[in-house]
Amino acid sequence: MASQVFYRKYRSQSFSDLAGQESVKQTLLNALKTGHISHAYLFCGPRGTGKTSTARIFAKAVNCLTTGGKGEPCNTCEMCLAISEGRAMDIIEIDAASNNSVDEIRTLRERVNVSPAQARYKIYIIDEFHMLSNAASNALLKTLEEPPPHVIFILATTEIHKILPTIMSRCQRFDFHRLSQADITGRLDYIVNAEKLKIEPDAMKMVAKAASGSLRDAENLLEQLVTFYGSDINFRQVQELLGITGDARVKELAKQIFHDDTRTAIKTINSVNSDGLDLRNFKRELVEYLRCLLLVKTGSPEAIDVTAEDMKELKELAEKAPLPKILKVIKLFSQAEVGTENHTVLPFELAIIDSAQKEEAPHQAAQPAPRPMAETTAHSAAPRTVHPVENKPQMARAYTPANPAPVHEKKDMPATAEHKPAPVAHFSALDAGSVCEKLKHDWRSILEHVPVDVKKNHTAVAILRSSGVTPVTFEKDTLTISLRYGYMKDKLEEMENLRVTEKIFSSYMGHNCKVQCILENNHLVKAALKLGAEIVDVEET
Amino acid sequence: MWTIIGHKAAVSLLERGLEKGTISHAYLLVGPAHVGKMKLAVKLAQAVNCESPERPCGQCAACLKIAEGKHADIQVIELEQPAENESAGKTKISVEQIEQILHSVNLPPFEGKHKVFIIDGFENLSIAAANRLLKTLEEPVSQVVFILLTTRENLVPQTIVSRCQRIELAPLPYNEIEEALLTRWHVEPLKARLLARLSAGCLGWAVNMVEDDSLLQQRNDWLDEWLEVLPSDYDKRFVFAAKLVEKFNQNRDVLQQKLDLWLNWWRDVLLVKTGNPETITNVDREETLTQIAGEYNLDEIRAFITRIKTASRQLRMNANPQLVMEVLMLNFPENGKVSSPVR
Repeated sequence: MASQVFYRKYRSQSFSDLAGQESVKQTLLNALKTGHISHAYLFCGPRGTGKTSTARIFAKAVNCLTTGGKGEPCNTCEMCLAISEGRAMDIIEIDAASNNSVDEIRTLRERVNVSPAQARYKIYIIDEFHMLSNAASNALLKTLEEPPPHVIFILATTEIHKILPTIMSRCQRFDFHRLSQADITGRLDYIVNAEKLKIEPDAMKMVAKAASGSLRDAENLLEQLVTFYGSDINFRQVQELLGITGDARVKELAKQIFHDDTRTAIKTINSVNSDGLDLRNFKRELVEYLRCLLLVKTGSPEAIDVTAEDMKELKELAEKAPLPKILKVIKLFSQAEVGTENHTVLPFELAIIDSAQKEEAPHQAAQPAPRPMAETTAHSAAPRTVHPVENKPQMARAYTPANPAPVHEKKDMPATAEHKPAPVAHFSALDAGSVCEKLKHDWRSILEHVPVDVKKNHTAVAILRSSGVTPVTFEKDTLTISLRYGYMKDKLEEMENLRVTEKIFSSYMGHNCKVQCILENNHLVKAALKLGAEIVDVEET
Repeated sequence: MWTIIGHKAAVSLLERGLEKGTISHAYLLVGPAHVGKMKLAVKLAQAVNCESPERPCGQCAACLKIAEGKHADIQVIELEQPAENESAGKTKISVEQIEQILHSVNLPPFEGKHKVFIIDGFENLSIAAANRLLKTLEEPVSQVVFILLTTRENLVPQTIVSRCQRIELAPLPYNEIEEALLTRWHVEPLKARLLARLSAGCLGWAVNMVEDDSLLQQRNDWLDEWLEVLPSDYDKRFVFAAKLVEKFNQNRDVLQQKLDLWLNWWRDVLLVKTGNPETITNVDREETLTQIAGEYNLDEIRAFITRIKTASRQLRMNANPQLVMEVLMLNFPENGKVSSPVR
């Protein structure tokens, strides 16, 4: 095109230009100064943080004729200019994603040995290195380890986890971090001055924030703003472009929700939608507003930064809204799934209706799952979960796997299998029994609310969820679980699974407990037990 | 003349870009299906190649050729149609297709001013293919414009998004579609009102419906089927469930669409129940809606919506379709009319 986009036009040309990445800059400059230049560098980091730019600047710096490769590139000498314009024949930039086969690397290896034509160093910039095939990466290994003295490799990638460890260990690795808002605004300021634009500081901040640490994203956004609104940009225009609504209807909706005015609330959300506003942004703002409400309610209004008028409104609303309801509404709305793929308002409407429901009601209506049979009269009236769900993750974290997980030998089985069919005799048995009842009753919800950090292990949870798995006794912090099938028992007794199971129940109980597994007795044995028989020995069949 | 209905922000962004000569080399158009992404992309292709001062004029040779899809410098890349000896279509845009682009990017335009590559359904690119585009997309030679279209932005790699000017095409407000249907396509008012709402803001869909009457008829038939099953007993429901999944393996979309239709219906019931009848979608059946809303209480309606959503999600996750549908049939909201089959 006649004009280049900002991110190409204003690509950094020297280290001092480069936004952020202080440690990278410093290290490279020092290396240049002392002449300790490595033969292979690996640049990794998220998009738009300066990897390709740094690679090019470094290529210029080592080859610069004015400084003799001892510092910042001068950007005026023949060499620097040639590199900036991309016509230096000794700087070879390779798109590894499109040239990812072994053959390409083999050709590269052959050419590496040819000494540079003009420059001091021949520099290979291999971009998108993660797309190189495994064989191709391996073919490069030897060359990368000991290249000829006139060659420098610079590998750049966004996905460091795809790089072979053998490649990584041969390179000096530099991690590029997401840019801070200050870094981005600094660079944008430069562009704004160069382009003779005017932009409000607040607007600039917003652009930097929306870019989430990627300079290229920020530059793109700025460019859109300039194309759209001309050279004078204010805060409101940025909001408009980003689809941010301004908060009038957010407040209205929050008020309506806490007044249980479902009808008007649904009307509000539909009007937001039909005005073509971005529902995701609306959701974000709503949740943010609810958070403010929560902070006001819990007595830390100084943590939020709003005008006195807004604060008065928040306080009024906070007085009327009970804390559990605020929590519930926040949860409902932050879970509402709205995205670009799904433009319907239905998730919002459902969240509104759910928040108007009385306690418990939506839960039961939404999940008419069959309750475990153990719903005795005493417990059906009791609250469903003894420990609030919110506490579980913390408790799970507090649990240190330091205390050894009990490993059960097959031989121990008979001892632990001393089945107590009716918890009557033991003085604490009644208590233990009721814990079991509770467990049975809450079984499903315990497994549904497994702490996230434990959830990665699906095996244990899947087994616990299977039929014929029930808690039998709970004594001295040891929970005995009976399983119907031998293979399930074996699987659950594996170290890792047992540990996970213990974690799950520890977090439910609120203190550490151990888990034992026993096989469910078959129906004959059960009948015998009922008649008063005792288990004396167990034989594996 | 852009002749695009709605999307004012997007159009004026491009217009001003043309005026100032700051058209970017890569655009990413994001929006639901049938919202007008391709239409806008073609218009942009015309605009950068148009020969008259008012771009795009739609009259000059270049514009006409592009509109007919005959221009040598405009390439549209999409999923390849299955060859005759293959049964299933391709699910990904292949590396080979991208290689072709990379090759022709470096050739100067043949007859126009700019080469334009329109990639439809960018989310269908394989990861390797998308990565191949990265470097070229970042710094292509001059006179090249990439226009990437996608319905599902979260499947597009972030590294790609960051190299493009991202333009979001949101669904249009109902009244704009209604008006467009009335004035441009001369649809009768009642039908226009219904179509505008059914289209969920996607004009292309509404226009398809106008041009093909059978589609609207189909929607009516489907809805009637559901409504017929609603008050009937379990025997009939199970027969219906079996019928629904009969052709599931040949065409998965149909069942999904039927579920969407049903979900939409119950959303309307919910709206009527909560006293917002003016926001409903199925405006032609308001009476039935009101009647049904009267029969069930809010909890039941709310719960049933969750169940339909669950069913639809489970189908996407490859659950056994028959089982899913049967469970849904068992979970129809009860108002005391149907006795349980168990007891």
